[in-house]
This record gives sequence, structure tokens and C-alpha cells, in this order.
Amino acid sequence: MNYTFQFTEVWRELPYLLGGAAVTLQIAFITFWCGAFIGIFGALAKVYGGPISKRVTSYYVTFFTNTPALVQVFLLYYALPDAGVLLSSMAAVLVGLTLNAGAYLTEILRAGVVSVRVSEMEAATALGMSRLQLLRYVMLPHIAKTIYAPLSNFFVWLVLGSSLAALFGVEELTGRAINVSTASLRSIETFTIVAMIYVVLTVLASGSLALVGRLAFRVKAKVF
Amino acid sequence: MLRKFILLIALFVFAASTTAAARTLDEIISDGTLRIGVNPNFPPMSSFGMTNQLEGFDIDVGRRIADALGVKAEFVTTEAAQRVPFLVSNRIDIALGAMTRTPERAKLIGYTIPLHSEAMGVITTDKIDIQSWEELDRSDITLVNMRGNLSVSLLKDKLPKPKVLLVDGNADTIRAIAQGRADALVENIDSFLKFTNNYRNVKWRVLSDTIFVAYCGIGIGKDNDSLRNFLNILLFDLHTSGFVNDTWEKWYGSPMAVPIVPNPYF
Repeated sequence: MNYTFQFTEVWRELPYLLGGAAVTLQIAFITFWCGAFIGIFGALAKVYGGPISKRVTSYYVTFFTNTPALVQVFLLYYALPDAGVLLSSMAAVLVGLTLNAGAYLTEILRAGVVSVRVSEMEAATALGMSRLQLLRYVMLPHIAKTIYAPLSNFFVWLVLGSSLAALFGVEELTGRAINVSTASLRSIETFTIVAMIYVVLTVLASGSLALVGRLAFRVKAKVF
Repeated sequence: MLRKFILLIALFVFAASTTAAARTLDEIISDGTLRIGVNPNFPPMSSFGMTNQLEGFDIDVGRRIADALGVKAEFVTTEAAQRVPFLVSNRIDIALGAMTRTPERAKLIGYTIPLHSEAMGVITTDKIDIQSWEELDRSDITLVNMRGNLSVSLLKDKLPKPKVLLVDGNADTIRAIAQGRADALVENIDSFLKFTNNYRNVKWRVLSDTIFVAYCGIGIGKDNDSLRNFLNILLFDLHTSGFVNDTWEKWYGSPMAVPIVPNPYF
């Protein structure tokens, strides 16, 4: 056991790896916001919807939160072509992770919606607030406070979880890390550097989310 | 305690570095067992099957050799990197597991005539009209391979222009071509051909010119001429009788990409 670490070859590939990090962030951002869009409708359907829309949403959430994201993307990438739909590597990953994120965000947002107490809503109505004011001054602060932590956790999960895209031909951070380690035979060094890049990515993501939370909703969140 | 430990390690290193004389043909026959090195993590060459018993091309060949000698086959599992050291230190009599002939190895061990070949070739479909692998060097071609395969970086020099799609497993590379995501695979094609059976409606083509062919003999102890002589004569019979090709087809699901031409003169 006298392995000597050699970072030189891997450092040389840093720009290539950082290019992969950009793709990783891109996947996380797109799937997070598209997932949030699905999540809002899912949450509203679960809280205020009729019996059918409630049930449909439940099926969707149960299916996507009880199967691995990897399997979902696998089926989209390799099984759909046999049904005549050929998604590109990136498209399959984006659609798969968006549907997955939508299911989780439905639950997270639902928790926020139900956290608004009926008595406060009634008080606001009694004060003569319009629907928009009610949403802005009564509902959103509650929702933001409740969902803030799970929401940023989930974003971090998406940054890290997007690494599965490497298995489907997307050249993001993990995929490029495997390429670099295969060519240089320096896997430990490569993945040490890649781990640090992931830490920087997630700290940056949590930090900017904390800033948004503090400025927009006065939620005091700690990054560390 | 520490001193004793270091002494012990030094002894081991010494023992491992001294070469033990390989067992001759007579010694193997009188002992009644042939020690065969196989790589258990290398299906369908050899692997632990559903019942946790070794199975594969190498296992069938090893049993056949032991039968011909009239001895028992004793399979010794070795990793790829251990095959030469195990022969040098006389832990095994013969080494299977795709022992590619190389001059570096031939300084340390002996080889028989080839048992099988390893061909880096092209699997493609009738969708692209090419006759040789050099014609793949076009920017409108997508080559598929497995992420983590060393051949990916080797191919960058030989075929710089095509786009590259890197997927996860052997089956997925073939699937990607069948589904139209990629045009061709450049690899040691024997390990991939059987997956083409999953897509029988695709018009598969294997280009006849291979980029690189290597030959794998049976590895034996250096200067073990009695054993080499026996194995060469047996291998000639196994090639001419079709045993090697039949066994290959049984495990790989398709004939050897570059079949061995038996030659009676060694």
C-alpha cells in the first residue's frame, strides 16, 4: 500500500471538468423550476382539488417517489424508442428528473399550503384584503417559511442526483470525471477534485437560495 | 513484534520473487491434477454462474484439456494482473482467461499456439454504407461505447471526427445502435455480438477488416517444453474438430470474429 498521489494530470483537465459542472447546474436548474411548476399544480390539486384530481395526483406522486430516478430515466431513454419516441440523452434526463422533481415538490409545496391556518385567512378577509393581498401577505410568508428548508435540500439533491445523467450519455460533471479517470488511470485523484467541485456547487446553490429566502420572504436560513 | 512482522513480509517478498520450476507433463500426470488459472470476473470466458459454480468458455476448455491428460481439473481463480505471477511462482500449471500474447509477457512465461483471437472491429448496420473502419472518420457519424472503456481514448487518435455517445453497459451500446442513437461500435466485438440477437430486425453488419487482432494462447511456465508440446498438439485437434469454435459459440452466442486457422506445423 504505497500509492503515490498524482494530481498534475487531473488538474490539467480542470477546465473540462468545470464545463461538466456547468452542465450539472443547468440540469438541476431546469428540472427544479419545471418540477416546481408541476409541483404547484400538484399541491393545489391535492389540497383544493376534486376527488378525481386528488386521486390522479396521488398516483403520480406515489409512482415517482417510489421508483428510483435512475430507473425512470432508463425507461424514458431506452424503452420509449420501442414505442416510437426517441428522446435525446439530455431530453430523457431532463424529462425524467423533472417528473421526479415534480412528484417530490408536490409534497413539499402541499405541506406549505396546508400550513396556512384558516383563522388567519378569515382574519385577512375580515380586514378587507383582496385575494392578491391575501396571497402575498398571509399565505406566501407561511408557505415560504415551511417549505424553505426542504426546498433547498431538494435543490441540492438535484445537483447531486443529476450525476445519473452520466449513464445516459450526458457529458456532465460525473460523466466527464469518469472519462478523465479512464484516460489518466487516476480515479482517486479525479474523484477527489470532483467531490470538491460538487461541494462548491452545492454551497453556492444553498447560499444563493438563502439569500433569496432572506430578501424575499425574511426567512433566516443557515447555509452551515 | 514489528521487527518480526517486517521479517515475515521480507520472507514473503523473497518467496514470491524466487521462481519455482514449472511442473513437467510427467509430474502433472503422476500428480493427477492440472491446476488451471481462470479469471472468475470475466463472463462469458469464466464466471461463477447461477449455482455459484465456475462456468464459461475457459471452464469447458480447461475440463477438456484435463480429460485429454487423464487428470482432474483444479480451477484456481486469478485476477487478470495475477496470471503471470501465478505461472512464474508455479501456483498454476496453465493460465486461461484471454492471455493475450505480448513480447513483455513472453519474457516471463511460455505460450502455446493460439486458443482464440481478440479482434477490435466494427459493429454497424446497413444504414451506413462503409466498407472499412477508416471511413467512420466523418463528423456525421456517432460512435457508441461504454463510459470507462480504455478504447474510448485510444479511438480518439484513430478516429477523431465522429461524435461519441458514452453509455453504461455492453447491452446498452448495441441497443443505442439498434434504436438509431449511434451508427457504430468499435470494440473487441466478441463481447458485444451476442446482444445483437436482441434486435433481430436490425440488419447488423460486422466489417470484415479488423482494426487490430490479438491472439491469446494458453500461458504456461517458461521453458516447460513437455507441456507446451502436448498442448500444441491437443489444441490443433480441438481447432480442427471444431471443439473450440463450438464452445466459443455456445458461450458468446456467435462465432469468433477472427477464427483461428489451425496449422499442423508448430
